[in-house]
Amino acid sequence: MNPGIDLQASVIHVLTDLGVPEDLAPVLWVPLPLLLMLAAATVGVLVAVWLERKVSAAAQQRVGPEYIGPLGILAPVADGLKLIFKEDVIPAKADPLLFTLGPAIVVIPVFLSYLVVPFGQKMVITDLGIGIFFWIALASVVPIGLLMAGYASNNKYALLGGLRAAAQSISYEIPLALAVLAIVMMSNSLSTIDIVQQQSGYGILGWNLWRQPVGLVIFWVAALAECERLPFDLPEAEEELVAGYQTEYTGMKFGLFYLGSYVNLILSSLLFAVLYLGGWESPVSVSWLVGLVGVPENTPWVEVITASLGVVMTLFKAYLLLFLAILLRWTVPRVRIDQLLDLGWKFLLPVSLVNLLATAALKLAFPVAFGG
Amino acid sequence: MHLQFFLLLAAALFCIGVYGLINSRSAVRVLMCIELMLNAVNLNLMAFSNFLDPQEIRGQVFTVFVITIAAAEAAVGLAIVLSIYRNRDTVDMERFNLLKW
Amino acid sequence: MNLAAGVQIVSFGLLAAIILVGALGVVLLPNIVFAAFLLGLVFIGMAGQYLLLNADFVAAAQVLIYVGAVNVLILFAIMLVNKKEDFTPLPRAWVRRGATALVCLGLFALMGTTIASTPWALDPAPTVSSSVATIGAHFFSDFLLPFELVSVLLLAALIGAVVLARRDYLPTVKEQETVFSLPERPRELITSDSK
Repeated sequence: MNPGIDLQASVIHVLTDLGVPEDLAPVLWVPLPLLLMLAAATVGVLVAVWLERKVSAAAQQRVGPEYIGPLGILAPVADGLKLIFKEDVIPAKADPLLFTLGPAIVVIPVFLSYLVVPFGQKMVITDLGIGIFFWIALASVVPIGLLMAGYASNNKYALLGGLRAAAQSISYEIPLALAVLAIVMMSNSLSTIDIVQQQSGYGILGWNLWRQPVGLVIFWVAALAECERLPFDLPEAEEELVAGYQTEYTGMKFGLFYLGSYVNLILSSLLFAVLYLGGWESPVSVSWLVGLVGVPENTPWVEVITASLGVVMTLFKAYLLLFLAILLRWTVPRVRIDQLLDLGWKFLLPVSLVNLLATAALKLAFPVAFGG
Repeated sequence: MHLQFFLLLAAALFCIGVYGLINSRSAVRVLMCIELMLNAVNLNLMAFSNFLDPQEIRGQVFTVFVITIAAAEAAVGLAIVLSIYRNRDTVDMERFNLLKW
Repeated sequence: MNLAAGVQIVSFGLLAAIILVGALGVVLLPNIVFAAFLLGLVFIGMAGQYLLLNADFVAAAQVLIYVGAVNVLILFAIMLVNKKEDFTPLPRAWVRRGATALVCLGLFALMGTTIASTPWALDPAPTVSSSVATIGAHFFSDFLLPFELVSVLLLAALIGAVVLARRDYLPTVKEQETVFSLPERPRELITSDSK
């Protein structure tokens, strides 16, 4: 298997050519992907917000943002600017320290999780051995921040929203982890790179989509619940809880919650693409196409095209899923809290356990197809 | 890096946990102190695993067991605290002085 | 993880400071909600220490279970038992505090001298590259029985916690059974005054 383009090695090479000492070049490289990822995630959020506005408008037969830039494309920027310039109010009876820390604790783990999202063979910030488990572990820190925000607001709606958010997050983490575990069992690795590797080679036919149809549905439902998207946005249910744990927040602190929820949604879509839709793989295997043309695979221009195609494919799949999530949000009604918990504990959990067992059995029975 | 640093840190954490365990009035805080002590033990196990047994890492296996037991302990302990609170309307350790109620 | 030794020492010192200050806060802070959040900080610091000890899997498990489950559970318990309770001061609380502090300091001194004086049989072999695989192999070979027992224990704890914490929604106040009785003055038995 061709490892593809190695950005790290080439950037370090360029740096040493420019006269940077050999020891210093790798140190200079370290912050680059982090900054790039931070910027990319923020831009991704802007695109997601614009999509949300346009798709919701279309779902309700409106036009949506129109005058702010072409097709209203600058509307999310305007939103962000408005949030930045708003007054940052801390309620008089609130706990100022916890009130400020809450949104930060919600957002930081989500951004950290981008460390393990791969866009290509070598295009990942860190190929951790525990890969996908890192994401699950970090996702479990988020409810602490939500509880903190809910408690510190000193507001009954906020406290109820925080408790609901934490309960929902804990309940749906278990089916999510079990669905991921089935994939891990087939790939024999927790690393996101290996999970994509295991799906490569046969184009669209090799993706986990066909091997894990049940796990896919469980993952998507649980991921939507983790991101608190409709139909599972109980913690912020306006009709019941004003705005849940966000009730007292204004300005950029509210902005952090808002940003965090979209970054989390994009992250879930990206990981869905990695786990079930073959990550950076194209529906038609690229190496096969290259072989058809008859160009050696390690030609520089082929490598560049393959790498950019990988990034484009990953983003395309992620935004397709994002579109699905937005459509779901504007077409499906919200569930009740008891229905939510029933669905999580009495339906998704047993089904995901059965799915895990079935995967293990199939892996033993057909090691060729299920990654023996 | 030395093994002793980790062991000293674990010892300090354990002693803080013991102090809190004995002097806390709130039952929930007592549970939190138990978690502190379990963490100190875990740190010991992990340090031994890394410095004395780096090939077989049995210490990490034990730590995973301890983490599992700690989770079970927290769940049952908090359930007991909740049910005591419901019956006695307090979480003050000094007032849990009846064996049967 | 090939961090330079200096970076390792500095991160150890920072994490140790976080852990110790957090633990003191857990024990001493009067506000129990702050104590619970500090407990989360201590758990995160412990995960950092595990990373320094080349154990990425256990570090992630620590974050997942301690921070994500135990700490959230404790916060839930605090917020369900949200009574601002002023504990009645005990008459001779300082005696107990002082005695405990002495005992704890003595214990720490004892352990410290033991740790410093013991010749540890350090193994210079490099750590295994994939801790996940090694731990898994242990679980299914020489630690199989404890592994299975832990699963049974978890199940028992799960059911036990549910049974303990569930509130009975059955009506506890029984309807008063009306006892019919005749408005009659109780009469003494004849046999009692025959003697």
